[in-house]
Amino acid sequence: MVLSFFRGGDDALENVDHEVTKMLGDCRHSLDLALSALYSDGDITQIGEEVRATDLRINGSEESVRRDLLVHTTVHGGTEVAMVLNSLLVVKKLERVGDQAKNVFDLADEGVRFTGDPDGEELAALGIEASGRLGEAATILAAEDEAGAEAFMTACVERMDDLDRRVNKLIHSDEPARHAVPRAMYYRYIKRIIANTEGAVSTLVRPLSRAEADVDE
Amino acid sequence: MPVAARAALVVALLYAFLVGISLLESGIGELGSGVQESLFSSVTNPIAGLCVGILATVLVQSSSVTTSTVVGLVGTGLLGVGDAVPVIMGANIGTTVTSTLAALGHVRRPQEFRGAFAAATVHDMFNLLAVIVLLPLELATGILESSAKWLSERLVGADGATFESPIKAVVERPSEALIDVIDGLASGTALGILLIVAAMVTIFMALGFITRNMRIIVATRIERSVSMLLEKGGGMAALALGLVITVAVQSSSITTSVLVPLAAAGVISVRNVYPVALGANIGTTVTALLAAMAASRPEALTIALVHTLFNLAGTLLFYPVPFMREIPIRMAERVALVGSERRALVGVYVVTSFIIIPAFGLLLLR
Repeated sequence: MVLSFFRGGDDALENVDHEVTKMLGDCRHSLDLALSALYSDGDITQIGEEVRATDLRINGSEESVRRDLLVHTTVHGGTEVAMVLNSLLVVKKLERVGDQAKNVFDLADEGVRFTGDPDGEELAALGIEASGRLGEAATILAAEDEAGAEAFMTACVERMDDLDRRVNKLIHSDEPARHAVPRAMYYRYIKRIIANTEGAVSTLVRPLSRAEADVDE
Repeated sequence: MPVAARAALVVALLYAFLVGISLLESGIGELGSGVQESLFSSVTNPIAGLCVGILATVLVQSSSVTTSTVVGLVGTGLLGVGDAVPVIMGANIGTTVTSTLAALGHVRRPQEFRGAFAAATVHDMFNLLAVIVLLPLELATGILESSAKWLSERLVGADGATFESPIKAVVERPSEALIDVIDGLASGTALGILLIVAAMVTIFMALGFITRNMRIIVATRIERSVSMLLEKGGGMAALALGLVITVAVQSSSITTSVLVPLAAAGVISVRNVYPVALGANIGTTVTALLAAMAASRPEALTIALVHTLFNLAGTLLFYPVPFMREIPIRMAERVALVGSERRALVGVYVVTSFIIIPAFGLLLLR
């Protein structure tokens, strides 16, 4: 502990960057696991355990970032308050992505499977796209790529609108509940994942005063 | 400002601080004997001395300024080591007001305030208990003074001798140059007062700027080690950390005040704050030891060592044995609980402990 005073190393904000990258990796891992459960023919217990363990890791990272930011603000004062608040917003959104990946797994846990359905591949493609967005977000945030962030956000908003349309279509469809409800919920969870990922990336370019505090509301 | 330039500035400020100590000695020497006698008569009563230490430190918000001034005064030979010991102990109590005031920032939220106030007052409680135990012991046996004298004799020679400090020689030149300048404007007691004012301003500003600059230089290191403290908890490593940070920033108040918001947020417990505060108490004595290097007499080093030994003894009394360790912690938790439930009492506690009692004590006993 005392040696850490004399040793060189990262300050809290650099550590926050590492944790955010780690969280995005964990979110993607969790979503990929949940998606694999929706297409699994076998027992998904082990997948569920891994999803929950990953979610705990994501929550742990969020707590660690909050603590680091608290120490940073205490030591440095309020000079970097915007960066601190943005970082808090990012980890809160990613923590939600972890929860929503768990929600996707819960669908599988309830017995929902898309394997062999006519729209199975399309549904899988949406999940894979959301997973890919998490990877892209990690790259954009690490590089602080503002142009990339703008393009990313536009693409995310388009997909979110598309998912809203899909949900609305299901609401007015005559499909049986066992067909429509899992899909509506799946679309909703994927939309939330994309919205939270977009929200995390938007901290690069969107003023803090215009940041959406809670996309789930 | 680049770190190297800031570090050079800190060295220059340290030099200015030592010049200030040297000026203080010269200023006191210029005062008439009547003025000298009346100046120091108020601290011949140990409780009055203790009150002077508390009040002076609360006033300047820095125990380092108080203890360095005391070292400078002892260095003149006019203030005895025995008379200075309670003042040093009072400075230890007075310095805790800063973190207590930092805790008041959380007073509107009872839960936060309870943690913050406990973290701040554990430092108060320790210093209070250390004085309650060690001041009577010191008055009865003189154990701290004799131990410090023994150490001082081995380091710089016997009391009464002139201590040929190489640093003293270096800091004397600007001090003498300033005396030559002021000498043309005033003489005798007036010259002495002008020199004392110049010395106090120099000491106060130099220490303030040293702390400010060192805090910037080592901020990332503090941040990293405090994060580590939150992860790994208290213990001897936390005590060492408190010592190291305080030596680096030359202010125990900075070290303890950093932990107050963290305690308010609930990420550090009072049990983990406690060893850091003890380390900060020991670390802050380095300033007086530095000041002693600019003084002319070995007694200056003796009183600086008394400060170190007092804090070491207090730590040995109230840290290694779990039962003893619990006393200041439980007291702080109790005070914080009462304070969070009856917040009006908090202001009463701060004003009474740090201003009214010492002021009355001084008025009645001087």
